[in-house]
Amino acid sequence: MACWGAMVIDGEEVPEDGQSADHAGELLLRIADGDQVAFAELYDMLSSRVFGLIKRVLVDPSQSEEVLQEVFLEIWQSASGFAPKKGQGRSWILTMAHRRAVDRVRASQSSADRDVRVGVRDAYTQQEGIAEQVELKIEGRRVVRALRTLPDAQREALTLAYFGGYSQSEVAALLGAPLGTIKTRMRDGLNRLRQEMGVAL
Amino acid sequence: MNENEFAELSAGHALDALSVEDEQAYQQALAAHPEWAELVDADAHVAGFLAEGTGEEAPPIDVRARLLAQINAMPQRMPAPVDSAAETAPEPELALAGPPTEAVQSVQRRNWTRGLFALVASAALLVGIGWGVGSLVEQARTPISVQALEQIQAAPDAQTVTGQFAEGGEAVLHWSAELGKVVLTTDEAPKLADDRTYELWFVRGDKPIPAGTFDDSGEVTALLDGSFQPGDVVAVTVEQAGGSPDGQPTTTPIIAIPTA
Repeated sequence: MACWGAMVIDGEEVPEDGQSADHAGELLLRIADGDQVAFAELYDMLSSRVFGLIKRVLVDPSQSEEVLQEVFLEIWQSASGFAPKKGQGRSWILTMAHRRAVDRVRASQSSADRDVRVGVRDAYTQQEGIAEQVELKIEGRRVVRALRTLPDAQREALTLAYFGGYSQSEVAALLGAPLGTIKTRMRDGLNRLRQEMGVAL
Repeated sequence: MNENEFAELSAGHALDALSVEDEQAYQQALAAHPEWAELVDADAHVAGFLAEGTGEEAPPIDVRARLLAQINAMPQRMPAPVDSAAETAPEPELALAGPPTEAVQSVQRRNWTRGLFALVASAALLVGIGWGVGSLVEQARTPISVQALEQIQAAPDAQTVTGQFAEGGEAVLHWSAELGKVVLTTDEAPKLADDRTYELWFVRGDKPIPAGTFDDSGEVTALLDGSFQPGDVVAVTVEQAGGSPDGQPTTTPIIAIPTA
C-alpha cells in the first residue's frame, strides 16, 4: 500500500529487498513476549530519536524526560498492540511519542510557557512569524525539502500543529484564520506531502 | 459525515491536533466506516515522516537503568485474541482528556485504564438481545434489584453480555438504555478475604464512577447505582470492605464489559 522506496532514515538504510527492514518492529514482537533484552536494545536504538521528538514539542527538559519514560513503559506494556502488517515499528513508536508529548502540552502548559516555547512573544517584535520560527528548528533535510514544496499557508498550519503541538483551534487563533480554513489547510498539506513522498492511498 | 469531512478529521488526528470533540467525532466516524481506515493509515505515514524532522538528543543517562528496573516488575498487556473485539474497544490513550500533573500518578492511572481496556478487548463476550418476558407477579416481595432485572428483561432494547472471572465464575451484565438501568448478576464469583468487597464502576471515557458494591455469595443480583449512559464500560474491582473510600478504584479491574 505505502511505497517508501529505498529511503534513508537517520542513516539507517532500509534495504530494498524488504528483508528485516523493520528492526524496531522485530524488537517490538520480542518485547511483546516479555523479552527485556529486546527492550534494552530498542531503547538504545531509538531513545535519542524519541527524546528529540518529545523535547521538540515539549521543550521543558524534565517534563520531556517524564514523557520519555511514559512512552517506553507504554511500549513495554502494549507492544502486543503493534501490528506489523499495518506499518513500521519505528513509526508506531514515534506516533505514540508525539501523542504523549502533545497530551502533556495540553495538560500542563500555561499560555506564557507556550508563548516562550515557540517564540510567539518574539513574533510580535520581530519580522519572522511564529511558523517561521518553528520551522527554523526543523532538522532532517528530507522533511525540510518536502515541507518547502507546500504553499506557505499549508506549511505554516502543519508546522505549528505537528512541531509546535498546537491544536487546530489554537493554530486558528495564532494565525487569525477561521477554524474551518485551518482544518482544510492541514488536510491539503498532508495530501500534498503524501504525494511528494510517493505514499499511495 | 462524508468522506471529505472525514479526511479533515483524519489529517487533524494524524497531527494530534484535534479538539476533544473532533477526536470523538473522528473515532465514531471511523467505527462506522471501517473502509476509511486506509486514509487514516496513509495520514499516519506522513505524520511518521514529519517525526523524522526533529533532531536526536540523548536522554539523561539514568533513565535507561530506571526503565529496565521498572519493566522488570511490570505486567504486559495481553494481545487481543479476537480482532473484531479489539476494534470495537475504545482506544485507551484517546480517552485521556486531562492527564494528571504527576508523571507517576499518570502512569498509574493509565495502567488502570489499560488493564480495563485490555479486559474489554480480550474477554470473550457473548452479546445477546433479550426478548425476555417480564413477570410482574409478586413484585412486592421481590428485591429492587431483581425487579430492575425483570424490567430490563422485558424492555424491547434489553441487552446482556456475559463475562468470566479469571478464577472461574461468571458475571452477566443486563441493561436497557431506554430504562437507564443496569444490573449485574454473578454466578460463583471468586471468594474474597473478609475485609474485601467487589465494587462496580461506570467507566465513562477515562473516568471511573462508583456504582455500588456486591459480595462474593454464590448468586448475586446487583442494581448499579447512579446514572448510566450507553457506551459506558462497566467494570468490577476488588476494594476494601464498604468500597473504595475516595471514590477511585485502587486495583485493576477484573471484569470489564462495554455497553456500546
